[in-house]
Amino acid sequence: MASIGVEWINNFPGPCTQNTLSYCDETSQGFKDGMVSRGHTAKFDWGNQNAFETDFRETTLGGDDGNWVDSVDFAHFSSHGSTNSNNLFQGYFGGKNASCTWRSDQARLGNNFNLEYLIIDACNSLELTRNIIAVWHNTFQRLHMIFAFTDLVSDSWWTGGRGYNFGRRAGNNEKLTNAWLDESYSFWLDDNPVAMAAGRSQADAINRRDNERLNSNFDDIPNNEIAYYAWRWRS
Amino acid sequence: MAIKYAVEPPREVPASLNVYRLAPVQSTTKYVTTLSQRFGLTGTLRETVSSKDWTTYFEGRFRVAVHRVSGAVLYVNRDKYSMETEKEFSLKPQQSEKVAQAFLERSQFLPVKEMRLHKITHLRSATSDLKGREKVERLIDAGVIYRRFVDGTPVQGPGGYAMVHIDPEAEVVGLRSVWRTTLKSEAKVKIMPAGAAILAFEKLASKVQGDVTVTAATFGYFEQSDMDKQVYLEPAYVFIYTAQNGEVAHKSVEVISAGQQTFAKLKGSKRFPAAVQAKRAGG
Repeated sequence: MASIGVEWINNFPGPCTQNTLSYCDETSQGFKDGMVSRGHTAKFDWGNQNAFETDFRETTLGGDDGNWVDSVDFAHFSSHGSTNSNNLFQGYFGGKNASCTWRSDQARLGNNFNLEYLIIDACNSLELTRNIIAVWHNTFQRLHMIFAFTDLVSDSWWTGGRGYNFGRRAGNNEKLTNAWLDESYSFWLDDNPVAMAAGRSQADAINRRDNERLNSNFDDIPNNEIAYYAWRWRS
Repeated sequence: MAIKYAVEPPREVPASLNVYRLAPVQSTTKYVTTLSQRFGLTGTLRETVSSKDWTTYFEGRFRVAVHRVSGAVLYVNRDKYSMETEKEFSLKPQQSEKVAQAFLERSQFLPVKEMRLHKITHLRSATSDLKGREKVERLIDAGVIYRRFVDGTPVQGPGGYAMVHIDPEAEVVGLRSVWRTTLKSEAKVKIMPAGAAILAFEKLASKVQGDVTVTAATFGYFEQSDMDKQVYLEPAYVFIYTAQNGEVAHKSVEVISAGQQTFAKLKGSKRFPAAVQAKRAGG
């Protein structure tokens, strides 16, 4: 059984002012519900001002990820996101614990020997117009896969069920990439999901991307052994 | 805050439209096994699974499922769906459409005359070494999407479509559809003018910070997603927009009832509401 943690932010009061979102709770709670309904365990669920940037930041860089995001198998983050031209992803928080954003260059996930899968239900989170390897390579410290979006992703009631649908299928031991792409794609709102896996070789990365399931027992890859990445998307 | 229209909002809409009652969902194992015959299966096996969400029938490497709330249909060739083979997908759009059309005509489970090609999407894959020197991109399938029309009026929203997946061998390896059967017309409703819908949308969008750009503004019937119960098919205006606020952007949609008489809410309550949280220590 997998352990999961979710963090979601709808409200962004000052000093972290951003547009209000309405359904980040829906996608995160749905993911949790889908996974728990298949027998997996929810370890934490932090929303709005209770979600902290430090939960995602590497402990040795001043964060506390070892007690939170890097202490579970599967983490779900739902909020605003952006990737800039310097290949830096930022996820936005509604409270300034230490900072209003967590940054891809301060994330080292899996080095606590735990986090294997990270969902970033946020805009531009695996942004294919940027160099996604430059954005995320240092984050892959035994992390297996990231599930995210290129371009903007809708914040809407009509697509808010994607978290549940993915969680249900992932929790049911289906192929993770298929589940993510099937359930998060919206031709209507032009939501384009991406799934990315690391590998020791090209064939290894492809195999993991296309076949990894919760119970498939792919081993962890230390960052210095990663040689390739493989990703898939629908557009 | 400024609102820009990247597309023309609807200007000419019908004066009135029928509102249709929708048929109750059928999702019994008998219904699903019978439906499987439309896809060329025998429907005679007893390998079925009923979960909270779906009723699923398995036959060999095929899976047919019907959603218990919406009646959405899935058909999957489990050996071939989304599989990357040595042969890259290379069918031209017209070839993909021809294969999808033939499949839908042969299966006869949706009224082909009520659908029109919407777009062709592709499942895409890429690999790269760390430096990006050996980057390879490939097409894996075509997802041919048809949109539904009722009395000549387009159906919009997350439902009202069929998506046919075609592999590099030009074989149909999957289908997903959300297409609720209409019954009798419940009423004929007058349609709110487009200008009033635009005003209603702009009032809602005025709360958004930053620059709002409307990327789609459409009129038609509105069909809900595969997760949702729907009793009536009613007209609506849809405004899809992006908001750019500094370096942060997001995308959302507003759906505004177009009928001067409405029969059901177009937006429901949250499906997975979050519990109220006590303030976390350390914040």
